[in-house]
Amino acid sequence: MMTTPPLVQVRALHKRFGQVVALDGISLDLLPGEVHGFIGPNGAGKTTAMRIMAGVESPDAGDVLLDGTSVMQHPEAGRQRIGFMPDYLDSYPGVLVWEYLDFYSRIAGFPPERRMERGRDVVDFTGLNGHLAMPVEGLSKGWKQRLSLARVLLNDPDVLILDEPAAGLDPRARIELREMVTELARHGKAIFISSHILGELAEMCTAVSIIEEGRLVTSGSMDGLQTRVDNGRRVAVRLVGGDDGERRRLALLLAGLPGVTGAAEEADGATFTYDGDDGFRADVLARLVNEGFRVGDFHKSSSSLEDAFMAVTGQSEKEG
Amino acid sequence: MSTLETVNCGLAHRLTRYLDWRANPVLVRDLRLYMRGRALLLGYALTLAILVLTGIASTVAMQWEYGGGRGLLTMPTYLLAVICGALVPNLVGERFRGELSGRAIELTLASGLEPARLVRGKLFGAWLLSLLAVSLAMPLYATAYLLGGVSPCTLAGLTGGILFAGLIMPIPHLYLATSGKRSGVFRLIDALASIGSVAAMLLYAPLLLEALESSDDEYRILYGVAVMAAILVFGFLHTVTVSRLRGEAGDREVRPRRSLAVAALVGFIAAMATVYVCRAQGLMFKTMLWDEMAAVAALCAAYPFA
Repeated sequence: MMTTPPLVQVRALHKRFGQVVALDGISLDLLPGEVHGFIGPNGAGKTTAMRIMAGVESPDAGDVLLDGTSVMQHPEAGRQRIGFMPDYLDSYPGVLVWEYLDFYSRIAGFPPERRMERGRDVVDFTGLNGHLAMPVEGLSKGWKQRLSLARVLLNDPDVLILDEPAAGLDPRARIELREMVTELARHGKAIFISSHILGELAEMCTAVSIIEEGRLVTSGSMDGLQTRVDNGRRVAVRLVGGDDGERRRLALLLAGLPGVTGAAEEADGATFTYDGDDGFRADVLARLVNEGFRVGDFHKSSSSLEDAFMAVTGQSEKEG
Repeated sequence: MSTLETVNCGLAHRLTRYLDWRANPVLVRDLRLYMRGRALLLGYALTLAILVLTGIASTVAMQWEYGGGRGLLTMPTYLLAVICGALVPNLVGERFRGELSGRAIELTLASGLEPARLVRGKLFGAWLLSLLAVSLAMPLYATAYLLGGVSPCTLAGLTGGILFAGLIMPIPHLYLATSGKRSGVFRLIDALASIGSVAAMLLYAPLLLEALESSDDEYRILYGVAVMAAILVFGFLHTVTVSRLRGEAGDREVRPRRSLAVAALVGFIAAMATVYVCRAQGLMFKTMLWDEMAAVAALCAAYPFA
């Protein structure tokens, strides 16, 4: 089976700021069409890694390869094909939205016709049509993020690096941003996105890397991460009716069963992880019924990204 | 439409398209901002009013010394020199400082704009503002010519000299803006630079006038040496500014210490050359002028260490 070669290869990035180690040997791959989530606590090194990948900063050691070409040694190649959307919008006082996009189009060296064409395309895609004559400073947070994305897309880059694009957005704006990101991935772009809103990332990411204290804790597909956390042995139990007391009793019972490695109360029942086979699950179901629980649903489920994140970073704390 | 008109339209279209394509992005953006702002209009209206008033005042004040159009030229020339060589560069430098501190420049450089191109855009933007200011003085210059006592060469030389100052004087302000420091010492240096540029222009304007009108070669030599020194000193400041911006763009090839060493050496040589040539020529110029020129040259040479 042919595997897609990575579009971007990050190799052993190291970066220090004085005595502080920001990155300690980060390595990961980005595939075309992949939405790769990048998560970690504050100060973990996410923004530093993204800025280095985008060519805004230089690492102390390591390299970033774009289709095998070093971005460190050939920064021009990187700037043509990598679009970076930081967690802030650079705004020049008094500049209008269309002037902002025109400015970056001119930097890209587009001839006048191509400037108009690309400008129309990105404005249509991001929905900025009604805001072109507004000053950039007067835009709301959501519209600033759209403008920042439009700027990034002017060059039609193959790789998009988005640093917390959903931060500060209302739910509607977050959904629209998610739809845009998914659409871009469908067009074959490799997207590297960081966010603290893990639920959002879980909806759109096909791969994820978790960073903590400058070190990569894990990197790979979403399915692989969730399997690593619960080994595929996780069951969700939904009760019919039942009050808080009933659900608490369910969680306590599950937690006390031999072979059950963890149990948690949920809004409509409980989930538990276990060491065992299908027979073990059947036994647990029978026990619950015998105890008088009205089980409406009993099925295998996978860990949420939040659970996976807490489990993985908790493991690395123990190992450290 | 005739063939000639068709060809002309085609050529004009192609030329316009080419200029539009190759225009400096920073220059285009800044000019749009300047032209849209009310401050520019008010500033120029005020400048025009002050030019007219100072022209009248200098004519009345200097009538017994010069007479005719020469009296009309003096004060407006001083004022234009200060506007083009000190005020506009200061404003451009402050604006650049704001863009740098607000991280606006960082993404611009990361998007592929060459630092040298960015600096050129700023310089030409400032120069165009100076050009607009000088254009306001054209009616006064024309009147001075009609009143007599002033040659077209003198007027052309004055215009060229002031525009030259308007082109190079923003360089030290852009350099100081890239420093990014906010310490008390730096603020003092910054203030000195602002005051120094005003003082330099108040010395430059009379030197320019004397160089153009005096029959004595002393002033022409002194003016030439001053221009040469300014080109050398500001040239190195330009190099350091671009070098610093390349560092801002994450360029790993930047060697700021080497650039600073070369820049400081060139500045020192330029300052010493100014003093040496003046002394070698046995020039009998005013002590204060010599002191001020030496002080300006030394200040420029000290900029790399700011």
